[in-house]
Amino acid sequence: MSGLSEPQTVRAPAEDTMFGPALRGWLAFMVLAIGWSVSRYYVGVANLEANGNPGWDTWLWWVPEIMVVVGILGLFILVVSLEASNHSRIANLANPTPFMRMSGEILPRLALVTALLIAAGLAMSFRAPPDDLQGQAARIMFIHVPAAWLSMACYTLTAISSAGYLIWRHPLADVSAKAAVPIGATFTLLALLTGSLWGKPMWGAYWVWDARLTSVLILFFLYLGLIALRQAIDDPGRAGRAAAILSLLGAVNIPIIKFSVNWWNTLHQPASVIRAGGPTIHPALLIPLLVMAFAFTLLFVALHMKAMRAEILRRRCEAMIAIHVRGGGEAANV
Amino acid sequence: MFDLGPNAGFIWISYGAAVLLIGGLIVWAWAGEREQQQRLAGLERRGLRRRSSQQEL
Repeated sequence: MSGLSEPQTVRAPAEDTMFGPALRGWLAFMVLAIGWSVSRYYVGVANLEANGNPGWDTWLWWVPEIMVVVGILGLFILVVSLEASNHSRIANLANPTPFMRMSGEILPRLALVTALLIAAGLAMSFRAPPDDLQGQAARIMFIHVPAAWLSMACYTLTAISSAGYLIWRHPLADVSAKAAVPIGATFTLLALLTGSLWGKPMWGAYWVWDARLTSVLILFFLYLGLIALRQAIDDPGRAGRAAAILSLLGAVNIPIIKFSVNWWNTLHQPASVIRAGGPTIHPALLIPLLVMAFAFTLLFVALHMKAMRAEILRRRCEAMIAIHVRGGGEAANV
Repeated sequence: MFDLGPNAGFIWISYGAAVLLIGGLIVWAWAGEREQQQRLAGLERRGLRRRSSQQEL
C-alpha cells in the first residue's frame, strides 16, 4: 500500500529510552496486584462461608483491584508520555514504523499479564459461590458477559477506526478496522454460544427471538458482512472505503443492543453491572466478573495489536511486489 | 469446587467453547504475523526493497 508511508526520522533504539525499564516495572506491579487480588478473594470467600462476613464492605478491601485498573490505565499513559517525550509528537504513534516498534516492545509483557489475569479470573470464577437463584449455571456469566461486552466494544472500535479512515484517509485506521473485525466476530459468536448454553437451563430454550438476542445476531452478521465485503473487492482502497461505510451504518446497532432490554420487553435480563444506582450483583460474583472482563479486554488489545502488525507487514509485501511488477524502478513506499 | 450440579454439561461446554475460540484467535493472530514476516524476508532475499531501506543504503 503506497499509503503506508511514514516520515524518515532517526530514532533511538527502544532500550536507550526509559521504555524498557518502565515496562519491566509495570510488569512487576501488575503481577503483584493480580496475585494480591486472587489471594484476597479466596480469603473473602472463605470468610463468607465461615461466618458470613467476607470483609469486602470497606474500600480498603478493593485496593488490589484498584491497582489492577490503575496498572492497565498506567500502561497507556506510559506509552503516550514516553513517546511524547522521546519524539515530541504523540501523533508519531499513528505511523506504522513507530507502531511496529512500540507494539513489539509492549506485546510480550502484555501477553504475560493477560495470561496471568485470565488465570486469576478462572481461579476466582471456579471459587465463586453458586448464585442463589441460578445455582452453578451462573458461572457461564464469567465467560458470556465479557465476550458480549467485547463484541460491542470491538465493533465500536471498528466504527471509530472506519470514521478515521474516511475522514483523514489514515491508512493505519484502515488497518485497525480490518484487524478488529475477525476478533469481534469471534467474541460475538462466543457470546451467542454461551448465552444459548446459559439460556437452556434458565429459560428452557436455547434461543428466543427477543430484542437483545436478535440484535446481537445481527451484529454477528454485520461482522461476517464486513469480512465478505473486503474479500469481494480486489482493490484494497475501494474495499477499505466500502467496509468503512458499512461499519459506520452498522454502528446504529450498538445502542440498540445496549438499550434493547430497556426499550422492549425481553426475556434477557436488564443491565446488572453498568447501570444507574450501581451493580446489582453480589461482590462474590462481581469481583471475578470484573477480573474476567479486564482479562478479556487486555486479550483483545493484544490480539488487535498482533493482527495489526500482520496486516502492516502484509501491505508492505503487497506494495513491494506491486512496485517490482511495475518495473522495479521505484521502491515500496511503506 | 468442581461439583457443578445438574447443569455441569452446559458450564463445561461453555468454557470449552471459550478455550477453542480464543485459542483459535491466538493461533490466527500469532501465525498471521509470523507468516508475513517470513514472506517479507523472502521478498528481501530476492532483492525487493522498501524505499526506506534504499535510503538507508
